[in-house]
Amino acid sequence: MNQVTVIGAGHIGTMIAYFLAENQVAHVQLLDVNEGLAKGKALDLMEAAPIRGYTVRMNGSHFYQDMTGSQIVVLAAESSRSSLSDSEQMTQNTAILSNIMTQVLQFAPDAIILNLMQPVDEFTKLIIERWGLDPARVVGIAAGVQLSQLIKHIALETGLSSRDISALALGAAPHQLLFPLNYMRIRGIPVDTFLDGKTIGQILETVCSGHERVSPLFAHDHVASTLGAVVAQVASLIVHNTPGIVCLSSFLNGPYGISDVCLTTPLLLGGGGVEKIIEVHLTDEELTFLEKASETVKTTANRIINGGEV
Amino acid sequence: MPKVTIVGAGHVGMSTALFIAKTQLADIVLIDVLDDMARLKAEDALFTGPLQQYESRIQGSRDVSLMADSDIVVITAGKTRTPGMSRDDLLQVNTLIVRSVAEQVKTYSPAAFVIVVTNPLDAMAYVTLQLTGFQPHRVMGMAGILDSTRFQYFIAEELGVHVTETSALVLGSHGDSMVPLSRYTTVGGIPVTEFLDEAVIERLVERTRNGGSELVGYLKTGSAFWAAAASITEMVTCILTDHKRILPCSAYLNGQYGIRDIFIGVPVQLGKDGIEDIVELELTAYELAQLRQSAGAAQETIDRLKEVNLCCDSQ
Repeated sequence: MNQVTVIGAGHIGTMIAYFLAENQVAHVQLLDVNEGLAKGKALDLMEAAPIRGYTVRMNGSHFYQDMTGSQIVVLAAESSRSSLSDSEQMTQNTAILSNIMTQVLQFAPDAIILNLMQPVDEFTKLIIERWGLDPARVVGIAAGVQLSQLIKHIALETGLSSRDISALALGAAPHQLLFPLNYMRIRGIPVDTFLDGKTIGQILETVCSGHERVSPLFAHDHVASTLGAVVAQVASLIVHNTPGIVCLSSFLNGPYGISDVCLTTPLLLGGGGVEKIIEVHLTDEELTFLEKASETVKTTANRIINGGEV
Repeated sequence: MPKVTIVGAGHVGMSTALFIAKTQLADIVLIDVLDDMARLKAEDALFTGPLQQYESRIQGSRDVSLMADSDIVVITAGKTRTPGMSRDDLLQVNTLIVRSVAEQVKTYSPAAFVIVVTNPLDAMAYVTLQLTGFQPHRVMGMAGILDSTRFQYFIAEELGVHVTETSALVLGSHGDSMVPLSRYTTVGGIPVTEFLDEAVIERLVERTRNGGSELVGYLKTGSAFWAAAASITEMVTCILTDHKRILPCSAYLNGQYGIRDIFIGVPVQLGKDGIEDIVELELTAYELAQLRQSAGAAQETIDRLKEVNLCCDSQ
C-alpha cells in the first residue's frame, strides 16, 4: 500500500492522519520535530485500530528519512503563535518551509506535495520556483474548507442532502474567494431553482465572514476537522489514481488570462498530480475579481521571494 | 433520530462527535462551559459532513438545556492532573464537575443512558448513579474497551497479524489495577496463550497497564484521545443498534463476583436497554483476588468522597 507523509503532528496534522486512516487511503508517516508528539499521536490512532478496523499503519517519528518512498507529502507544520509582527511571522514561516523542503527534496523528491503552510498560494509558488519542482506535482490546499461550509449551508437551507450539492471556488483563500453562482448546483440543477438570490447572498456572507478575521499566516485550528477531511479526499484521488475535479491552488500560466501565480481554480487531479486546469465560464465581473486576487497574491509572493529569507 | 449529547468538548468529546457522526445513527449535541468551544467544534464537525458523506445534525453550546431528551449522554467533562495537583485535589474537582453534570442529566434527559468517561472513572460513575437516581443498567463507565483495544494492538503487533483478528477482555479498574484476562483473549478465536508464552504476555500486559502513561510520556502537555473516542463510540453504537455485544465496561455490581455497591470493569451485554446482563466469568483464585483488589481501591475512593459528603444527593 502507498504511503502518505504528514509533516507536522499538531491539531491539523493529527486530523489529517485520522481521516487518512479512517478512509483507508494510505499508510501514514507522521513527522514532527517534536518526536514525542509524532510518536504519541500515531500510537493513539493505532490503538484505535482494533475497534475501527484500520488496515493502514501509522508511524510517528522525527527522522525525515522516514518519508522515503512516500507518494504524497503533506506540509502541515504549524508555526507557534507568537507576538511577532506579520513580516517577522512571515520570515519565520518561510524559514520553517525552507528547512522542510530541503528534507523533502532529499528523501521524497518524486512525491506530490500538498501544501497547507500559510500563506498557501504564495508558498505553493515559492516551492515550485525556489526548488524547481514540476508545477503539476505541487498543489495548495486552500479553499476546500469554505467550499464544504458553503455546501453544508446550502444543504441546511434547502433541507436537501449535501451529497447532491456541488460548488466551485476560485481565487485566493481565505479573503479573496469567488464562488460562481452558475456552478452552484444541486444534482446538476442550478441552485437558484431552489433558493432565492437573497438567501444565497446571505449564505455566502456567512461563509466568508467566518474567515474574515483569520490571519493567512496561521494554521486554522478551528477548522482542523474539515481541513483534515479535505486533505484525505485530495490524497485519495492521487493514491487511487481516480482523477477528479477539485478546487486547489496550483501554478497558473495562461488560464483565465492569469500567469505566474498560484491561485485556487477547479482542476483535474489524478495519480500524477494536476492533469489539467479547468477553465470555467466566468462573468466579466468574476474575471475582474480573479485578476485582483491574482495581483494581491503576486505582491505578497514577490515580497517573500525577494525578502532573502530563503 | 436518536440524540446523543457529549458533555465536554475537549479532544475526547470532539473526536467522539466525529466518530458518532460517521455512524449516522444519531443527532449530536456538544456541551462545554468554556466560551465558544462547543459551538466552534460542533460547526467544524458539521462542515466535515459533506466531505465524509454524513448528514448528521451536530450542535454545540454552553447552554446545557440543549441536551434535552437525549437518548444517551456521554460525560467527558473534567480536568486532567496538572503539576502540583494531588490525586485528591483532582478527585474533588472532577467530582464537583460530574455532580453538576449528573444533576443536569437528571433534569433535562431523565430517560437517558449515561456513559461516564471522566476519571477516576469507577468513582465518577458511582457519583453519577447516586445523583441521577437512575437504574443501574442505565449508568456505565468506559474504560475496559480502551484497555482491551490497546492490549489487542500490542498482541497484533507481537504476532504480526491484523488487529481485527484479536479480541481481549480487560477487567477491573482503569490503570494500575486493571485485570487483563489472557485466557479470554484470543487471536482468530484461539486463546492467545497458545501463541505466546507467559513472559511475553506479561510484558504486553504491563505495557497495557501503563498504556495511558506511555502516551502522556510522548505527548507531554497533551493526552491521547482517539482510542478513547473510538471506545466510547463502540458503546454508543451498541446501545443505539441493539447489537448486544459483550464488552468490558464499568458497571454497577450487586453481588456479582462477590462484589457489591460499586462500579468496576466487567464483561457486560450491551444493547437497547443499556447494560442488559453482567457476564460472570469463571475466574481463577488469583484473577478474582485481583478483581477484588481493584474493587477495593475503587471503594476507597468512594469512601473518601463519602467522608466529605460528595457522594450522595443529601448535601
